[in-house]
Amino acid sequence: METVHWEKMYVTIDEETFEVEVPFELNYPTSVRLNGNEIPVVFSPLEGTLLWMLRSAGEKLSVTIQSNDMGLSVNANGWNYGVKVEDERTRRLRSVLHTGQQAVGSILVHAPMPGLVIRILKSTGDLIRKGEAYAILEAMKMENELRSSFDGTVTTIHVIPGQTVEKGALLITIEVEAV
Amino acid sequence: MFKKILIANRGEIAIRIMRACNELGIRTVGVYSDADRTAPHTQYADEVVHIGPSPARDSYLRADKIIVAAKSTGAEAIHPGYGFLSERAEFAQQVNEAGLIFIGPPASAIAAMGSKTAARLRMKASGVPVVPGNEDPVSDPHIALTLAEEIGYPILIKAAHGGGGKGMRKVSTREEMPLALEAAMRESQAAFNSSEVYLERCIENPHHIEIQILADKFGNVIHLGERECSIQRRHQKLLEESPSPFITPELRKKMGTAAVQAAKAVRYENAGTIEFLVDAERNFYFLEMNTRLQVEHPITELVTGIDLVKAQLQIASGEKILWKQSDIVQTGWAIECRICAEDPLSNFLPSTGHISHLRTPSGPGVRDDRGVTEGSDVTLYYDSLLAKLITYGTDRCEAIARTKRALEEYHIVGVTTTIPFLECLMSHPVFLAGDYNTGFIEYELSERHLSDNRNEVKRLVAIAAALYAKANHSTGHNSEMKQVPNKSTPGKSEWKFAGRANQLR
Repeated sequence: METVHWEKMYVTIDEETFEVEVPFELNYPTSVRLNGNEIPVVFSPLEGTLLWMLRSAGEKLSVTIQSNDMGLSVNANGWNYGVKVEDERTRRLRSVLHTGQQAVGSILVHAPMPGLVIRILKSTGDLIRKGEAYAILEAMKMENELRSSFDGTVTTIHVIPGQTVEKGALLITIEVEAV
Repeated sequence: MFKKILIANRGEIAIRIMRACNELGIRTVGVYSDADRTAPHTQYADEVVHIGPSPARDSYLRADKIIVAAKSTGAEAIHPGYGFLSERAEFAQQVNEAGLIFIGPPASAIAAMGSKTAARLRMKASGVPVVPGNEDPVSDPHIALTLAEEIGYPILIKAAHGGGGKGMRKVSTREEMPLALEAAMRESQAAFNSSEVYLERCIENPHHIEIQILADKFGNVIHLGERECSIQRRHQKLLEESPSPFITPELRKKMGTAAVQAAKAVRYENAGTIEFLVDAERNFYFLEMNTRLQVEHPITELVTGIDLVKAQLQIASGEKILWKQSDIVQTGWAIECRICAEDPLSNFLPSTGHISHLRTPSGPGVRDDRGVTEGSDVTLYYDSLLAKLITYGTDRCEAIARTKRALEEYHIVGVTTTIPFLECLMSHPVFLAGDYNTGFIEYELSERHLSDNRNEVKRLVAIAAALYAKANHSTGHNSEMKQVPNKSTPGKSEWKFAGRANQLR
C-alpha cells in the first residue's frame, strides 16, 4: 500500500483550534484526519457559485467560502464562521513573532452602528466581563444591547444618554490587563 | 380599475404590490431614495421618481414629495404598503385632497383606531371584547393604585398613542406602581410625543392571533380567518402561521364575527387586521387594529386562495367584494418566516453589509417575497426585513417540512440573518407540537440553544476550510489569497430573471 504524506493544518474557529491533516496529493474520494481520527471525505465546488459541498461518512454540509484579510469567512446552516487556517510553518512563525494574541492596554470601543444612546449600563471604574452589556443603542426603531468583547475595567465613558452617535463613534474605553 | 398607481414604499412589499399591478395591467410608479437608486423595487417599477436622501424622514416619509410624484406621473392612486406613511390619517387625507385615491381605509377609520383608548371605547360600545381595564388617562400614582385594585394585578401600563411595546410596563405588585408609571409616561412622551398612559389587566403569555378582514364601500365586510403570530421577540413578530394550531372552529367563528363587528364600528374600508390576545382558556380580547396590509398577509393568501393586494386595488377603485363569507374556506397550511438582517446570537442586533452571495429556495410550495438581491447593500436606514419565506403544505406537518427544507436551501452571505434561528425553531419540540404562546422565545429558545446548534457543525466547517485552503494555497496570514470572482452580472435584470424562473414552477 502507498504511504500517504500528510500536511498538517491548524484551523481556528472562534477560540477553538482543530488539527486537520490533509493528504499532500488531493484526489477525491480521500480521507482527512481530524484531531487524529481518520475520516473519509469528498469536497467539491458547485460551478459558478461560492458553494462547496462536503460529504463525510453519511454527513453532508453545503458551505460558502470567501477569503478576506482575517482569513476565511465560511457560511454553513445559516451561521457565519470566521476561520483562520495555518500550516505548521506559519503557526510556528506567528508564535515566535507574537507571544500571544490577547489584547492588552486601553481598548477604545466604537459604535457598531449609528443610533441614539438610550442608556449606559456601566460607570467609570466598573469591571466588565466579555459578553456583558455596557450600553443600549436605539437603531432601526429597536433598542439594541451593546456587549463587550473583552474582560476589563471601564476607564472612560465618552457618551451620554440621549446623544446621537454615528457609526464608529467612540463610546467607552476599557482597560484590559495582561493575563 | 386604475391604469396607473404610485407605490409609496420600498423593499419586498413594494415589489409585492407591483406584481399584483402587473397582473392586473396597471402601470406602476416607484419612488426611491439615494440609498435605493439601484434597489430591486426601483428596477421593478415601470416608472420611477427620486424623492430624496437616504434617511426615511427625507424620502419615504415625505408626504408632499410623494404626492407631487404621483401627480407629475399621472398616477390615479397611491398604495402606501406597510410602515412609513401607511397608518397616518393626515397622509390619507392629503392624498384625497390632491384628487388622488388612497389605497386603504378612509382617514377617519385610521384616526379612530390610532388612539388605543378611543379604539377600546368604540369596541366596547359595539360589543367586541377588550382586555379588562380603564380608558381614562392616568398620571397620579394614587389614582393608578385605586384603578389597579379594581382591575386586578398583574397590570399593564400602556401608552394611549403607542405601539410596538414602547411606553409599556408590567406591574405585578402595588409597590412597583409609582416607578413603573413614571417610566411608562417618560417613554411614551419620548416615543409618541404624548405622555398619556392607561391601565389594562396584563394577560400573561397570551397567544397573539389576528383576523384578516376585507371591507368595501358598500358596507360588505368579510373575514379571511386567522394568523397565529405568537412567535415574537420584544413585540416583533418572527414567524407566523395560518391556521393557528391553537384555535378551534368555534373560536375562529366567534373571533371572525368580532373582527367584522370591529371593522363595521369604524366604517372601515379596504384590507385590515384585527389583533387579539387569546389567553390559555381561549378567552379573546381586542388588542388593536392595523389599518393597512400586514407583513404576514401572504399566509392568508395561500390558505384562502385570495390575492389580498388585488382585492385592495379592486375595493379602492370602487368595486364590490367578490366573495361572500360562505365562500371563504381555509385549505391547507401556510408558514411565513421573516428573514431579517439581525444576529440571533447577539440579542438580534441589526447587522449590515454587502450581500456577496445569495441563493434562494424554490420547488413545490415555496414563495419567495424578497426586497434584496445579490450585490445589495444592507444599511441601517430602513427596516431589517430582507425577505419573507412563505411555504404551503396540505397540512402543518408538510408546511413545516417544506419550511425546514427551504431554509436549508437558503444561502445569504455578507450579512448575519435570522435564518439559523428559524432553522432551530423548525426542529424545536414545543414548536412542532404547536403548543406555544408569546412567552416561547423567552422561555424555550435560549441563546444557549442557538449556540449549541452553531457549534454542532464546527467540526465539518474545520475540514471544509482546511480542504479549501489546501486547494487555494491560502494558509497563513501573508500568503496571497485567491479571490473568488463575484458572479453578479451588471446590466442584466436579476429580478426579471428570477421572476421568469419562478413562473416556471
